[in-house]
Formats: sequence, structure tokens, C-alpha cells
Amino acid sequence: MSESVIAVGQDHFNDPNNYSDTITKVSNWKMFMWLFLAQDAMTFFTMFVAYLGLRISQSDTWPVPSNYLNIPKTAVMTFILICSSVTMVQALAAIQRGDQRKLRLWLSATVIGGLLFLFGQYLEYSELIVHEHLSMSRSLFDATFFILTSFHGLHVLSGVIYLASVLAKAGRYTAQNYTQVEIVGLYWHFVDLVWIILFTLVYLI
Amino acid sequence: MADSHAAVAGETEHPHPNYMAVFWTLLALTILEVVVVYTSLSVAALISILLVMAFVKAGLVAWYFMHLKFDHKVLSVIAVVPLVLAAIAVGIISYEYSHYTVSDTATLKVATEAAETK
Repeated sequence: MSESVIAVGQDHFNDPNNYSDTITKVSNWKMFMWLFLAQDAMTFFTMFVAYLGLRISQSDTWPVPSNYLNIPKTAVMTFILICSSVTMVQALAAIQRGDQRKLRLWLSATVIGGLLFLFGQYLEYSELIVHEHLSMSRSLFDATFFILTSFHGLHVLSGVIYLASVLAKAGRYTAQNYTQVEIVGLYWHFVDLVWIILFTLVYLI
Repeated sequence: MADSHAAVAGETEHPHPNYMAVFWTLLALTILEVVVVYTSLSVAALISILLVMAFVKAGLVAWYFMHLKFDHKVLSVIAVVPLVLAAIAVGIISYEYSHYTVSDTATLKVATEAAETK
């Protein structure tokens, strides 16, 4: 009895992807990340709806976003984020082949993409606050803009720290043990996905 | 059901989609979005086109980059159900809100008229 319990436990620890002991064969880590993303998606969803509600209720005084916001520059930020999503899938593909050197390379590129995005957001904020005099208390347009973009920006910042922590431990991942790389990828793609929606709702429409 | 999915880690690898094709599609749609904003389309047409493009892009990211296409379908359910729940919640709250706003306005109007006639 106790031996079989130990054997099950051993299996669990010898299978770092943790695929074999769940009903769906989805690793617990991956399930955890998807559930986390699901609740995070609801948070963003309700914020977007609140934003649209406020905007529709004040549609006669709501400014045209492109009068204040620099759409070409933000499109470049979108481009950077999409590129960093591609480098992330390349990082996962590399470690699934067992190529740790490429894993480090692609993960570093992803971290740099995230940092560039944050730098772009810093430039954008300083431009808007210093030159356009936007502020949280000035109008609902300003307030919703800062709340939505900064909430997303915090996700990017957390993502960069999370990616860096996986990068720092890159040596422990192999072709059989890559779940941690996979789930940091899920988080990072989600941040990209939210930005795609946010870019349309806040900047373009 | 379960046997269609590999039982051990080594067998769970799936064929890699053409990530670069997805990337070029995302890039093309992004450029198209920015171009569309500077055309003289009507607001309604502009909003519908932009929303469709945004959802296509978001779908591509979830389906290919987040591997929903290749993973167990329970993950797709986890991804979609909360959005449906949130949409229902938003619908109920909007309905309640409009209902209360209308009746509050009506009550206020009645009360104001009553006060004026006095």
C-alpha cells in the first residue's frame, strides 16, 4: 500500500510536465494558468464594457481619440508586442526540440520586446501628460484612457518580470520538461491579445 | 476521449503551425486597421470593420499562439465560458440600470410636476 503511494508520488515528480496524473491529461500548471487568464479576461472584459458605457453616455462631448492619441506610434508598439509573441512561440518550439541556447535567445528577445513596449508607453504618457495636459481628473476620456492602458501596462511589467524569472532558470528546462516555458507563453500571448482589443477600443474607434 | 491525448510528456508534442504566416496576417491586419482609421468611411462601418479585425486578430493569437487548436477542448471551454458569463452579467446590469434610470426619472418628473401644481 504505502509502496504504491510512494510509486505514484515518484511518478509525479519524475514527470515534470505533470501530464500523466490528471483526467484531461492537461498539466495542472497549464490548467492553473488558463483559469487565471479566464478570471483576468473577465476583469478586462468588464472594464472594457464600463469604458464603452461611459463613452456612449457622453458621446456628444467625447473627443475623437486620434486628436489626442498618436496612432502611428501606438501601431509601432502593437507591432513590437506582436513580434514579442512570435519570439515567445519560437522560445517554446526551441525547448521542445531540447535547444536550450535558442530558448535563452528567444526568451531574451521576448523580454526586450516587453521592455521596448514599456518604454514606448513611458514616452507616450510623458507626451500626453506634459504636452497635452491629460490627467485623471480632467475628463472621463483621460481617466478611462489612463486606467485601461496602465492596467494593461502593469500586466506587461509583470510579464517581463515573469519572463525574466523563467529565463534565469532556463538551464533546468529540457525537451521533456517545458511546461513552465509554455505557461509563461500563455500569459504573454494573453497580454498581447488584450492589447489587440484595447488598441481597437481606445485608440482606433 | 482520453486516448486521443498522449499519456506521457514525450508524446504530447503537436505539429507546429506556420507561426510566421500567423505573424504576417497579424501585421497586415494591424496596418489595415491604421489605414482604415484615416479613410472617410461612415462611423458605423468603421466601428464594425475595426471590431471584426480586432476579434480575428485576438482569435488568431488564442487559436495558434496559445495552442487552443491543439490542446484539450476543456481549455477552449475555460477560455470562452467566462466571457459568456461576463456578457450575461453586463446584459443584466445594463437592463437593470436602464430600468431604474427610466423609472427614477419618471418618479422625479411626477414629483416635480406635483410640487409645481401645489
